[in-house]
Amino acid sequence: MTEAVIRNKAGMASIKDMPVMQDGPPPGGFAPVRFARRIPNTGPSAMAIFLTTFGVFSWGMYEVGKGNKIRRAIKEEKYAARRAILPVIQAEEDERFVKEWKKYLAEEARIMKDVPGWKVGESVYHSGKWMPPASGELRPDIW
Amino acid sequence: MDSTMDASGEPIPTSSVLMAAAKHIGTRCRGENMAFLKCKKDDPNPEQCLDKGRQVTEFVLHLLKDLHQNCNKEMDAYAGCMYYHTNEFELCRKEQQSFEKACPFL
Repeated sequence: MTEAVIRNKAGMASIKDMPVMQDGPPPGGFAPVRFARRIPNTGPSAMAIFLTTFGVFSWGMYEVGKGNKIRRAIKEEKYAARRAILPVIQAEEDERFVKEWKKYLAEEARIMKDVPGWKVGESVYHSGKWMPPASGELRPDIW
Repeated sequence: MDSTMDASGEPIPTSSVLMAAAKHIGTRCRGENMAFLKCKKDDPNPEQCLDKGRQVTEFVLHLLKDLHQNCNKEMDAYAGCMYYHTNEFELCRKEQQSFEKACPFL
């Protein structure tokens, strides 16, 4: 009964004359659909792309080189300053070391005074050069 | 760190003061520094190069006192900036310019 109410057409003789209710295309049909490939061959050529890439890369590396020069100059300044004050600091350390070394030699002489043939402060190496003492601790008063 | 000098007028050679004056030390003390380094190269024994080391220390302390007398404020500002930025030259350019303008090296 409901179908006949909805799909009613004036002057129907029987329900077999009811108009069809379907989902169909709009009148005149749909617009045509493009399904063919269309990839255009326009734009920059391969050589153009390559040259642009190479150019951008070269410019970037040039800027990197410029930055490296600046950074190297900054580091050089720091190293030159360290080289300039190295002698003062080494001289101060030498004074302190000589004082401590004399104390150490006096202690060694006191300990080994009864050992025959012991040369106080004798180097344990045969090379003849002076080597800093390898006692394991550089500044025992600090550590 | 308030000043590069202590109460009795002696320069305090801390790392910031030495780094601040490093360019001056490098140009003015070349002779003594080179003599000391050459002595060290010949014989690394500290006892052999004590006299040259003393010359170097005296010269540098004298130079620090000189610099402090001539450009007091600029040197204190520069050394203070170095102390604050832990001896980073790049962060103290302004104080460095004013210090080098006040006390040109050689």
